[in-house]
Amino acid sequence: MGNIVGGLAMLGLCLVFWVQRDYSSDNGGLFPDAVMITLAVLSLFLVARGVFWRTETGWDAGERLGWGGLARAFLLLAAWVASLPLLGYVVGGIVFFTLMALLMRTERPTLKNVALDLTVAFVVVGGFYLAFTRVLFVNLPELFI
Amino acid sequence: MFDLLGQGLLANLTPAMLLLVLVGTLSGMTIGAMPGLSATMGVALLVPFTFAMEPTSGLVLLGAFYMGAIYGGSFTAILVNAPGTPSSIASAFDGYPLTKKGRSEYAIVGATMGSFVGGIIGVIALIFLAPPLAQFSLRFGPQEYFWVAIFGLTIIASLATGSLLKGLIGGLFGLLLATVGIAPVGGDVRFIFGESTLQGGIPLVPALIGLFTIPEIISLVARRTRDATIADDDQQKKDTVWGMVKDVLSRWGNLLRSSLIGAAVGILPGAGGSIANLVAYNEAKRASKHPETFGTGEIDGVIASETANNATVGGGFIPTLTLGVPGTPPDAIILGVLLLHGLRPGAQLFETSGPLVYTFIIALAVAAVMMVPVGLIAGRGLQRGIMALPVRYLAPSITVLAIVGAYAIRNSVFDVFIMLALGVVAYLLNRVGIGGAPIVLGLVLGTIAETGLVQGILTSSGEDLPWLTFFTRPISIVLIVMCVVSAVWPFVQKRRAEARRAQAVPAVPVGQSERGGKN
Repeated sequence: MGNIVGGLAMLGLCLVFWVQRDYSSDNGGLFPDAVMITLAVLSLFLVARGVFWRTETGWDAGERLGWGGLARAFLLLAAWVASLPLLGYVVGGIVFFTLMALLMRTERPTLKNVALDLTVAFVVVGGFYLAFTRVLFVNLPELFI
Repeated sequence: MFDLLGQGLLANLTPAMLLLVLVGTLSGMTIGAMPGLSATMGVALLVPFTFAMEPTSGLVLLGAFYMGAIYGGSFTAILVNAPGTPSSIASAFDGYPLTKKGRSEYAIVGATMGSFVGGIIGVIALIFLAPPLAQFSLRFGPQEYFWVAIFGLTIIASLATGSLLKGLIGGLFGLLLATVGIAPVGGDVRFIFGESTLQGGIPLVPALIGLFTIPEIISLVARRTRDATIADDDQQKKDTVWGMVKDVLSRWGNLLRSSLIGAAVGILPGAGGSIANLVAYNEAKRASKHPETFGTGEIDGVIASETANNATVGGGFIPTLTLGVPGTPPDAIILGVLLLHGLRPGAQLFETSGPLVYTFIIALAVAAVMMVPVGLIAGRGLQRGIMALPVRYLAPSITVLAIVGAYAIRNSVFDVFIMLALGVVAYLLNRVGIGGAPIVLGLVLGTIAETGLVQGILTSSGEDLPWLTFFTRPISIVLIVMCVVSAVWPFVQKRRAEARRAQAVPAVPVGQSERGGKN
């Protein structure tokens, strides 16, 4: 099934790119078209392999992670990144660093744990902030709200 | 020349100059170790500080910084699977698996010694081979660059550990991503999906961080422990640093081969460490007696990558100093500094400004030497710090580093979104057996391949069959042969290994076989 899923995903991607084709020069499409066609053909091979070669699962042989854990990871990362334009680097960083550290604890967190995680978040996020803005002169996203 | 070399050496051994090289190397390592801050950006940031210095000191500082930055990229590649610079992509292939096995210290020592040897051999090439090699590099036209990119892509055959088909699909996905934005020749705006920020293309560093680091963060957060991941190994505690150094230096074939690859690729303008480390990794795997161990924590993979990328430093300066054609992007900045000080690159530069040029070249070698103690102390200190960090702080710390790294390259939050999107896609593709490494390979080489292809066709448009020029030029033919050998070799190795295994299985007596069959 993994082969069919992977192959169909790649075919879908080729389709999305194909409908976006809008070249203004003679050779502008030479390379991308060749890549898209080859990718589509190989993806079809992968789908065919999944259909006709049922003994091969097509999934990665590595450790499977639980849905709960994956959902926690995806949501945390998505919320952290999405909050950047609003909360900025420092506030967003301290909030989500602390949240991630707390959610990764295997035991129920106490008030002392929360204080410790908040302190570590403050030190790490603040340390990077000072290094980038004061030493390297790289501006980081600021608080917007 | 030897007089000038001696003068350069003496100039570098003064306490002030040694301190300058130390500061340059250490700060370069720090910048290189941070994903998002590339050697190019670091060298550019340093340029204003050198204006107030005399030309020799300024150039020495820049050279030492550049050497340190290329080496520093290996730290995060090995310890958290986040290559600090594109030159360290291949260091993550085996460096991070070594960390997972609890052998990160060994990987750091391998990277340090590899960088040292590569740096020195690159400088030797710069001193003795500069004029003839620079002339040879001018014979590379678009067709040859196209084949160099295809040669790089043949590495997929050896990177695809599970299925070659999936490896090729990953590589093509990377090539497709590389076509996003303004075309390198012709200027077509392609596949930007209405988002003007994408006109600049998919930025390489955020893509690298996304494809390599985000899947690891997802895995750490989902698992909540570091079971089987980033463990500490008892064996590592027993190994002495000197023992590890001796072990790395005993792999002289790999060190020499990777250095020569790095110096040679560095000479080609536009190629540089991002290609050299991949090519050297592939050649190390091809030459190995145990190619199947690559990708699972093979020290030769780390050594090859790190040796080659530091050898590009010396190699890259060959066309920069002799022809005024920068071999790598940081070379272009240093070339600008040379011009600012009124120094014109060319054969005359070595005669008119010999003391300055040779002092600069020797400073590169001194920086390579300095990387050993500095790297072994700082690198191992960092490694121990990361090992001691609880996983609940490690995962968010890596996330902070990833966000800052993706953002800093263009000061763009959009790049952070790209990083996350590619990271999630990489995680999902990993689940169906399509790894991140072939995607990165396609992304890195796509622009070079397309530029070579289109320019090659345009420059030969007067011919009856412009395509033929890709197959008839002498250097192209050599490169085509190399591509075929590189693509076919992993299969030859596999067949040989199977044959060896078949021979190693003892012959089973007929009677026993029959009994086995009945059972």
